[in-house]
Amino acid sequence: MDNSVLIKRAYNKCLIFSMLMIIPASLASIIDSIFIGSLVGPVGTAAYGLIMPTSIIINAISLLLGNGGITLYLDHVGKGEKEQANRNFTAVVLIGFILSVILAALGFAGSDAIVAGLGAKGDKAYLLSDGSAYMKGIMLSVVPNMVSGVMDRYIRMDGDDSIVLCGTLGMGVSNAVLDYVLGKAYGMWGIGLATFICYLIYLGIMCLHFLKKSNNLFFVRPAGWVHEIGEAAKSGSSSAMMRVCQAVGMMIGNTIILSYGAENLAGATIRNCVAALFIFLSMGIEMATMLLAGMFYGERDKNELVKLMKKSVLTEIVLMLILSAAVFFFARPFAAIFTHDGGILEISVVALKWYAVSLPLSILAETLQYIYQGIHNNFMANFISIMKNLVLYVISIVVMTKMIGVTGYWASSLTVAAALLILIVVCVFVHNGSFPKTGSGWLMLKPDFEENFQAVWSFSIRDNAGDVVKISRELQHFCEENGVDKKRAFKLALAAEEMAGNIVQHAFKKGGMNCVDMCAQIKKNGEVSLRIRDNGRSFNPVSYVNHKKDDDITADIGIKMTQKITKAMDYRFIGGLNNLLITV
Amino acid sequence: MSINKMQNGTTLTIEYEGRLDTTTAPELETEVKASIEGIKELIFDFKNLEYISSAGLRVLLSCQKIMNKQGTMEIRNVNDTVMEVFDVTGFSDILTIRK
Repeated sequence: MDNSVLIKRAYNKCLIFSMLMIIPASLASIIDSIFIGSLVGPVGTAAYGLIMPTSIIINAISLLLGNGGITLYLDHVGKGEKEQANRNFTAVVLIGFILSVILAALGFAGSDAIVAGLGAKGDKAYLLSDGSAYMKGIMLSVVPNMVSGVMDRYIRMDGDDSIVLCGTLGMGVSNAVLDYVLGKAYGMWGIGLATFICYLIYLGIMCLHFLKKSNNLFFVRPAGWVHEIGEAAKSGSSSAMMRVCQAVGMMIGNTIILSYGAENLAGATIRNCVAALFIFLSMGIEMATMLLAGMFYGERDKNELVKLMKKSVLTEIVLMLILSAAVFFFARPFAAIFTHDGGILEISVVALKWYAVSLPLSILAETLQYIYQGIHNNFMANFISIMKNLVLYVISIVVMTKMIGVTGYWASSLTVAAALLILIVVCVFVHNGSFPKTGSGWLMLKPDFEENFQAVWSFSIRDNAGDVVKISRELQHFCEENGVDKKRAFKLALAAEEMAGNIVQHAFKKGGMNCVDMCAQIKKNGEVSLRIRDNGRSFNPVSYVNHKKDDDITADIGIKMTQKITKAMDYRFIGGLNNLLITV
Repeated sequence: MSINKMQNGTTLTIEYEGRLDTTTAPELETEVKASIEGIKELIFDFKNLEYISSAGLRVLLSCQKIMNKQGTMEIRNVNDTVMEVFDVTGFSDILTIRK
């Protein structure tokens, strides 16, 4: 059997799941905007656009805790430290809850001041009433939003994707119904209140996971929580920083466009909502690309990385060209969904056409950002994000509006994308000493990254112990046939039997689509490695120590033996797959 | 895999050839347990043992536990690679091994 079974499955799963996850979230934002446009009017749409950065900031705090926390949680789970993993879960959720209550209380009480601070003052003070009413509802939703935003990552990693998906769909549907009912009765306050109720529903559905027998998440006494939170914040700071840059950039952009009139801010809000409608398509591809890039990077497989980059870029460009054409030629019908005001409709059509023109270029830079993130080039990933969302965005808007007025604001989406691509090329030039002529040039990998392979052996097995022995024998034979000395061939075969046997015996759920992918590589420098990938429960054999069984010499003997006979072992849990790299 | 058993009075010598892994270890265990009654000296000759995994080690430990009650057990002619497995697992401390 070919050894790419798990990769294909993980890619498709990630692609579909990322798309499904983002559809309801995009719809929620779009539905809010549609109901505000039809039930409240242009002032409501402008006020909604003014408040958008606040939601992004709340999301940044969720990311800070959630993304950082889950990294540590998986580390604990991988080491078999169940108690420590649940302490991490408890500490992160508890801090998320406390922070959200404080933020919600402050935001609710100070909603007038915040909305005024975002631009609803002076001759734009007429935006304050609608903005503040909506802000109050949004602030109420901070508690269920942040708690569920932190919790859903843990629940997904606990193997319950389906409940997260159900929750997201439930939230999307209830949002549409409640927006209509409450928006009609209470205007902006009603639509904000609907958001609060929707997040409560989402959180409620998430909590059903704790009733399941398969649940491994428990609230325990949060000892050592300061350390856990500190480490989580450190680990999640990169994702959070990207959101903060986006929020700050949007706030500055809103202030500038508002100076040209609230109708232009309403037009920008409609453009952003249409963008959200399509973002799920590119996000699915980008998340799957990041997942695979991380795996191939870990395996030092440059050819696969280049192939992946070309495939993702090509797919994104084709997709975005189709979407760009659709947005460009159907800008008016799209905009008409969000507003019935003739003036705002015309502004939105112009904004959408500029957005459509910039889409292919900006998506190219975005795909590169996710690939860099996948191959652990955090500098480039953060650089692209900060430039795109803040530095280039603000510079471009300021310069372009000064030069050609409000049209400069709409055209800046194109100039940002073009300038960003030029900057990336400059970075590649500085790093490589030449312009990127080939796919690998763009990746900016270290010179010693590429290691030539003399021979490669790959195989996939299902949950059958007999197959484990069979592949161990074949692997030993393969190594000896390709010039590897008997001792190392023995060790690699032994590591394969012990590790794959452990997976088949302990990691798989009964009746699941279980699979172990194995790939052995003999390099020209004589190094021999074995990569084992499986879709069983998360387990890190590299740092696993079971102190409870110290007096039993046969306890975990396979793991202990492999740890000692191998030259190096590296473990990563990526995209729901265990990835173990063994070198002898 | 082949198992060759030779009994001389209360001494049982087992010559094992091939791989001692998850599939073959249960066969060795069955063969040993069928002949071990009344044996005071159990000898494993591993001159032709090519490979041993944790499943094989478990069988050896199980035999050692039986022989602790009725006599002695010795492992002979172990090659360097198999010896390394005995060493890293701590089995060389609890089994009597002659290279």
